[in-house]
Amino acid sequence: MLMQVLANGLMLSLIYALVSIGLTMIYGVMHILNWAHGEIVMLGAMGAYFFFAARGLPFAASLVITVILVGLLSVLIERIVFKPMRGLHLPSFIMSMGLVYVLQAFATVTVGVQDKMLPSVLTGAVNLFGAILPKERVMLMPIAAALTVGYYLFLEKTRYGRAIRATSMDEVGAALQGISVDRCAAIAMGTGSALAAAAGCLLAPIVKVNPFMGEAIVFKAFIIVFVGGRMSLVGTILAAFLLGYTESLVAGYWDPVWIPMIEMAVLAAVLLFRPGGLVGVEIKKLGAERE
Amino acid sequence: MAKPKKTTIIGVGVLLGFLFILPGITAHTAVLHIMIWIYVYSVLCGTFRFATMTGDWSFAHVGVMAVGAYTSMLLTMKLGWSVWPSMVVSGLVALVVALVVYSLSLVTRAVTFFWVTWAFGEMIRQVFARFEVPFGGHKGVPGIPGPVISIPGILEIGFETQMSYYYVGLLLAIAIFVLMYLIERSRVGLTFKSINENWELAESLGVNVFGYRLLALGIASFLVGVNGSFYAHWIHFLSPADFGIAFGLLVLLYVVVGGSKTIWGPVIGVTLFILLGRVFLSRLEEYIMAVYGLILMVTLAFFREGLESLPERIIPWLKEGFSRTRKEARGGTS
Repeated sequence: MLMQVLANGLMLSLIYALVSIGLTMIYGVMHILNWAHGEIVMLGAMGAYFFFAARGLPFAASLVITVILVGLLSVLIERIVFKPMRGLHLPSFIMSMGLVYVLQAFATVTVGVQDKMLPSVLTGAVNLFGAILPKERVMLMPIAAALTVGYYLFLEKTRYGRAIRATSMDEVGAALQGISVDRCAAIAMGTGSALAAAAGCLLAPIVKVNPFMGEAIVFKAFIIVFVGGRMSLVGTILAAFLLGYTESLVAGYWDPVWIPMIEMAVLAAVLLFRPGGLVGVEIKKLGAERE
Repeated sequence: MAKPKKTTIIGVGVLLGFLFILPGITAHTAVLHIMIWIYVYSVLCGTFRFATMTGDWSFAHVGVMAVGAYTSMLLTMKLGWSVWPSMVVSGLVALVVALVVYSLSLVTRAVTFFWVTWAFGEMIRQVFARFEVPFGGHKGVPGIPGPVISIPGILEIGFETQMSYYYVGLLLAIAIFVLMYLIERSRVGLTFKSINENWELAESLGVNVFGYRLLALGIASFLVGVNGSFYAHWIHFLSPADFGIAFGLLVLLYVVVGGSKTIWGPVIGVTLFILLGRVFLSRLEEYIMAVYGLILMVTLAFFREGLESLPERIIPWLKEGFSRTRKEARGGTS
């Protein structure tokens, strides 16, 4: 029982981390609260359905194609929809709400509202220290972990990663050093959304794929981003693990119906007592938020 | 504050006159039903916008309306109260819950406030969904009684038709909007707006910022609680799913597209979207949300003040255009 709960928690946490990192990057660089991030996850899952189930491509190939396509689409979205909204918190949130409606309707019209079941990628289950897990879920974990670590290294080690971090610390200062803020925004949006699309692809064989699957996911991702501290990648990953393990523990030992209540209480408590999140940003900076 | 213009007064008079005689023109149930939806949503969005005067966008507002609706349901169904007193009491209960929630969350501002109230609103909804014993759980509560007006021996009006609900809804909406209008025009309303403009300056001039923010939210919560009670007795069914996040986001959509600068904005937004959704697009179900989303995005991109700002933007533009063409016709070179 304990091993099962721990393994489920690990899987949930990795998926949550993969989805929320993108949200943190978008908020960090552009100060945009992107509610349409869940729809990016949904598009990822739809891509897996379209290429893998309907067109019969291998799963790995459909993952790569979907991630690239969705990444390019999100850069386009950044240019057209979000660029005028930079730095405006509530208007950007509401703008992304409009985007949610449009993307959901797009998926409804092209693919349909019915739940899609994908054929299984891998069959069978493995016994992992006493926890019994289907192979599809086991497959998800190393990929998600590798993507998360890879993204962390990208931010820490490469030139563009450093430019993105500099922009999220101080936009004007970064621009004065010759960093193109626009390019950083495009990279942050593209890579962040690509990670979310990858999460969607990995989730597709395990969950029901439909145009409205993104709402529940983006809701969790927002909790994670606010609990983790909005700008910090480490904070986001920590908060993802906190939330993932809370969920699996509550579901394993108590009753899953209490999960939303507990999550909301955690979110409210963190925002009231540590408005900067667990791994804090400067409160001074947040206090300057006007809208 | 400036007195309203004569044209505005005449316009409002004509509109209200039309709304009062509308059931005489067409007593079609579907039409009246849509009109009652518009009244209920207008009050919900109007009170929401009332609280945004101080700059606080409270996402718990829908949850507070649910508190009013559920209180009224309990009072009438479990305790056998009449509908009218329970309407007032459910407003008061909503006020109490709102005071608790907001006095906790008002230490934050702006986006953080929005998300704290988001969490509290969802917690309120979860309480209704989790506890089956008084609240009926996530399955919802059917069979909420309608109101009755009875003076023994003289008069007995049962609320069997939409017609009676139409007039109650209309009168309630008018009363609430008049009250909000009066408060907004008073000194208190000006103080609310000053907090939105610059709360630090307002505080340094001796305004109790916390108190006034709580006052605005409290008034809005009481009024929306009464509205929730009317909603419950009109629709006869309550379910926590009806007060979920999607509904809260719709309220934001209405207020943002309509505009939040004046009292008319939310009404315009609600009317536009309900008519779009129920009348014009009832056959193209899957495109409705896309149309909503496009309207929202276009509004935010091109006129962020909302649809209410259209007249004052278009009229000067037209005037300028006319005078320019006239000058050109006269051979001017400007």
